[in-house]
Amino acid sequence: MRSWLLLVPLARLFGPTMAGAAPPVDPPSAVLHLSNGGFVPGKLIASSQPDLIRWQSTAFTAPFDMPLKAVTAVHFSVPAELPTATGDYCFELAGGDVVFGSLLALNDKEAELEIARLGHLHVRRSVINRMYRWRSSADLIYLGPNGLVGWQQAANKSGWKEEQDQPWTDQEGATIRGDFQLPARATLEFELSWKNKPDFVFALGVGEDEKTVQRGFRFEVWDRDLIIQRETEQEADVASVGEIGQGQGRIHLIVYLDQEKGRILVFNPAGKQLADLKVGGGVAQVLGSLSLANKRGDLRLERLWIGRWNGEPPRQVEGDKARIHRDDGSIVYGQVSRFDAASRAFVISDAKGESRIPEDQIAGVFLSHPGETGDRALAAVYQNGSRLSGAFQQVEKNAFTLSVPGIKETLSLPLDGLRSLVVLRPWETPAAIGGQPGVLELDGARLPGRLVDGHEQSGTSCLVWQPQGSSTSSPLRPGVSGRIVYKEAPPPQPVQRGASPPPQGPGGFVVDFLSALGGNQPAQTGGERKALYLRGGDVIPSEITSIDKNGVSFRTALSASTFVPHDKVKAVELALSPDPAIKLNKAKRERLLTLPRMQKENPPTHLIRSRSGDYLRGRLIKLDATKLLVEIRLEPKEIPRDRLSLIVWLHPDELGPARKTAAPAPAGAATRVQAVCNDGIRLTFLADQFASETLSGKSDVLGPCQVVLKEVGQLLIGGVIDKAAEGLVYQQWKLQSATEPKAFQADSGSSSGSRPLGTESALVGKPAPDFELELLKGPKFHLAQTRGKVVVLDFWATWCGPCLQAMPQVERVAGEFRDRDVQLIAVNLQEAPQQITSMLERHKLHPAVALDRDGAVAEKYAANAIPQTVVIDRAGMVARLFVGGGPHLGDQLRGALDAVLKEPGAKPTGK
Amino acid sequence: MDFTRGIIAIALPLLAGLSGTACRAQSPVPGAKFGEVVPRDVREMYDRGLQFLASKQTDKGEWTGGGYEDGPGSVGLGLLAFLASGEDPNFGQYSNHVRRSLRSLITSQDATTGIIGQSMYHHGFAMLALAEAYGAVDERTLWPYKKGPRSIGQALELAVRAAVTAQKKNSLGGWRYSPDASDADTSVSGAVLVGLLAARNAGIEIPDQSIDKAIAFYKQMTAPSGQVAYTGGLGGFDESIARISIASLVYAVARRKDLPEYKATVNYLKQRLEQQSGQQWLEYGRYYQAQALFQGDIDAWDQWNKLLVRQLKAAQKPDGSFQGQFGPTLSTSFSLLALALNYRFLPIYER
Repeated sequence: MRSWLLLVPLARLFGPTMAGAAPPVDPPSAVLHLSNGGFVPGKLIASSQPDLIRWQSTAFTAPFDMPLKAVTAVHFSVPAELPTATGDYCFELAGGDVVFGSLLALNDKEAELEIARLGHLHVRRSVINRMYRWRSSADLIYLGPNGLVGWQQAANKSGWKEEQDQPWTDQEGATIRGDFQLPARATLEFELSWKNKPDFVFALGVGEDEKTVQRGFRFEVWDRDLIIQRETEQEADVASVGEIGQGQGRIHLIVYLDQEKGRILVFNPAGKQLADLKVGGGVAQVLGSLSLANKRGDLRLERLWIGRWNGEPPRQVEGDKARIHRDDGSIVYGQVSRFDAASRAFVISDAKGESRIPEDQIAGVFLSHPGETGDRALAAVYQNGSRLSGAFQQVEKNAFTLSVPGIKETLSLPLDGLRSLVVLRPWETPAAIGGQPGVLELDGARLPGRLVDGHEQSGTSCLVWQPQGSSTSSPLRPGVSGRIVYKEAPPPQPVQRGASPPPQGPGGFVVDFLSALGGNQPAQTGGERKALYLRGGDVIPSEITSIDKNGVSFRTALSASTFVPHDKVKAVELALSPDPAIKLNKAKRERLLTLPRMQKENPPTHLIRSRSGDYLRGRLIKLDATKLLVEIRLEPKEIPRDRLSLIVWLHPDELGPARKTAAPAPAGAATRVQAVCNDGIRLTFLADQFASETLSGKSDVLGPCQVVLKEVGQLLIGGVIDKAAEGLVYQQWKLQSATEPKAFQADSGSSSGSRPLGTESALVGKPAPDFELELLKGPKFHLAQTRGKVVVLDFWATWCGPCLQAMPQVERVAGEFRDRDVQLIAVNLQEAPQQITSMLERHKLHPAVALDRDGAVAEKYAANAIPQTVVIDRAGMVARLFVGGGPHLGDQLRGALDAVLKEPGAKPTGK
Repeated sequence: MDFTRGIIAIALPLLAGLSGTACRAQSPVPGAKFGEVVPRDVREMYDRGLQFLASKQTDKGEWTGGGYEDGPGSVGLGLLAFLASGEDPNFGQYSNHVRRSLRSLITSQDATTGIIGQSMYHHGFAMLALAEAYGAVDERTLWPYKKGPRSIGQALELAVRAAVTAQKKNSLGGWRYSPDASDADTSVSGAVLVGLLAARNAGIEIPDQSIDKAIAFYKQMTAPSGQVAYTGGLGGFDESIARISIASLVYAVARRKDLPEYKATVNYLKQRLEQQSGQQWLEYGRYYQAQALFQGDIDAWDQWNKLLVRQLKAAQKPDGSFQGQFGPTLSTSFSLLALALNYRFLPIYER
């Protein structure tokens, strides 16, 4: 039972109206939430059936028909900035409905309202609770709840859920915090409810850290009392708000909070003041967040409105009577008999007769308490705060129809601007599913349901999903990635490593990996069965018969197939060593997987583990029934097979920082799946048919295969297979290249280890030897005439490979400085112009080439090793001299030119 | 060792062929009669590589990759790849290619200075090719239309003289890009010195002083660790498998295996069989590494060669070429010559 209090500031809390929204285009993207906990993104599509949601998800080829009761809500994407608009009044109707518009008429039977985008409505008076004059949306800060939007769960906990758009939890210690940017003076109206006696802390005016929560204004349950308390370093006080009974219950409070003064006023909805607490203390701080912590029992946040408060304490109201609040704060009690449209005045009748209050003097009108709420299956909540609930009729392209109890017209509500459709009476217990029930998990979707018979066709997968509750089923679209979970956890008795569930994130498989590499992993596997592990994640119980240069030969009970090529194999188990004597710790593992620089050209391709836990890296050449032939650093060795327990393949393409995902999903023909069976077997194949609870297809290793669904713990679909495989234990064994020494990183191994910065030459700092040379394209270059410019001389010849590698860098960098008086001259050593021209054309280089036909200039510049690049400053002095080019010459030259151009002494010196 | 004797056995006819007549025995499966059959995959790889080189050779007997490396050096190395295959250079399927390249080398030689090509790299590799062809290729069929400017032997002698003259001008006793350079580096010097040593093996007279000076230069550039510096003035010692291999090879071919510097280089290479030149001039490095290991330690070479075969098999393109820093034709020639130690037909491979 709700009771209401109209307070002036509260009236301003109502949000903007629906008017002014953009014209409808496509139905907005949305997420369908189901009563079984499922959810799936998609869009609402037209259907003429009442109480039916027809839902099309992009992951499926056909829509699902969901009875309304199988649905809890549809949440639409909401723009960051909520729409604002205008309206004369905010009307609060029965069932929590809210609309904005103008009042055309009111008598003792009904009201006529004009509502934006809905038109002229006839509303029974008995469903109108109160109406406020709507002046501005400026005082509204938050109107909700909007599910968990705006709230953040405390770290590592996810105890709060959304139910019918309301945050809800039954988890002890579950805490949410939301930054609603409370102003210094704020008013809040909230409703909290519970099924069993609650114990919670609702703290107002808190910040990021726990300390501020301790110092906030805290509603707490103390034994049987709800109290408001605050404790700062200087002061502390507490006041009782009311009693809390056993069992189900709720509170509905209106709070006026002045953080600067440290004061909080608590009212009940009937307008009665319940508490007035003032705790100052230190510097007043305005903190914008709320924190809601459930300590025990359950808790639901049903309503939260936040607005600005002008600081004026509200007047107390006498009981819960019909009344009119005037703008000046005075209250007129009495039943409003009608609205006189002609004079724009409300008429109040009481024993003394009629009195009139002009519309422009009133703040709000309390009519009555709605007696009945009527049949309301669904509530439509708009981004601007409007809400209408009723019977759900049908969906058209851009709108849906709703019969609202008490409103004469059947409403056609636009889909545009919707925030949520909330089903008010979802199933308590969803219908049985039949078949092999599982949960389909796709990107952003989770759908309990089952596979129904299907076969692969162009454009549709053989995986056909019928969600629980849906009367229709739909094939998955080809290329969709996800999984169907039949059993969440692996069976209790340990089997193969592969049986562990696919990792959820890095944390998952890192843990998996560490434990796997910790040396005790074989013990976990139980040693029941040896298996062949493929790179795609397959785990096939097998006896390895032999390995040769083509691949691995094996026997398996699963199929007649006996061979797999090397590039598909990740590991083979030859013997199960339950407890190897030698443990592998993290440091040893890293060493084992580090590839030394000198082996870069010949990386080991296999890692071989002995039964005692020793590891050996090398290149497997051959394995037969009795011995392993392996090349260890080019030295062939023979090892008796009975000493071996495991061989892991170290594929060359795994080496390096990032590896692209393995096999791309084949398009069209079939759906790639990996069945993760309850016994730890993993099998990847291209599924083409599902019938009789059996999935059939073809594995490229084992040939045709069939998997009976009841033996499957998880069915991985599409790209997720590769991601899951990445996380499996043996897939983590990858070589890492040893870090290159700095000398090699800087200069990939040409002539010298430490690159001179260009100032080592004896010529540096001395006047640049003058010269005059003929230019390739004429006429002549005379160094002395360039005084005042910076000149780069690049000594080169066409037969000099490093020169031709360096020249593009030199040309590019010199080009960057062209506007700053930098001139590049490529001095060619003793070659014919024709030869030079053809080489420059081939390499698409265009420097000015000076022809040092007799090598005299090269001699002056001691260019006895080329490439040699000389920077001559504005004063005509040799500023830098680089020899040998190299990949970093460009950067070095750029640095040199920058420095030379900045040198103060390098100004033109005349002449 | 058995096959060592075998090598000498086939090498001798080549040396004996100074008269100018071809007298090499054809063997259908190279090495078969010595008990060391060249693996089929090596033969197939080599054949495909030769087919590529043959297909890219111009009418003038040259290869143009469009890079600075075009010239007599590339021609010489391509020619060496044909000569090293065991195909009869006078009557085999590539005999025309061999003659074309030889004619190119001889005509591109400067008649006055004797220098072949733009730099001493070219000169050195061209000289090596002339030396290996000398005695193996029948001069009577070399010039089908007109008489050549000079015979193979004359060209080789002229080239040797040019190299010795350049060395005399060089204070360090080595060579650098320009025949007139006053400094030297161990990379250019390797190309020239191996050419000179091959010429000496072919019977051309080389002043001992010249070889001694060059070896002295290498000794000076070899660190006790076995690392070999590039030039005297630049950088210090660092790890260049190519240069270490060059030094090791010239010591061996100059019959100076007694030198501690030689032992140091061989040990360095033996301890790093898996290590190659990396990203920098990989094919060039392998070309020398193959010969140096073959000369230095035949067992080590055997191991290393397995890795080489594996790597080249993975690297060979469908057209038979190898791609590398030098462009496809020169990279193919270098790669094939690194493999050619499996055949051991060239006199320079004599141990």
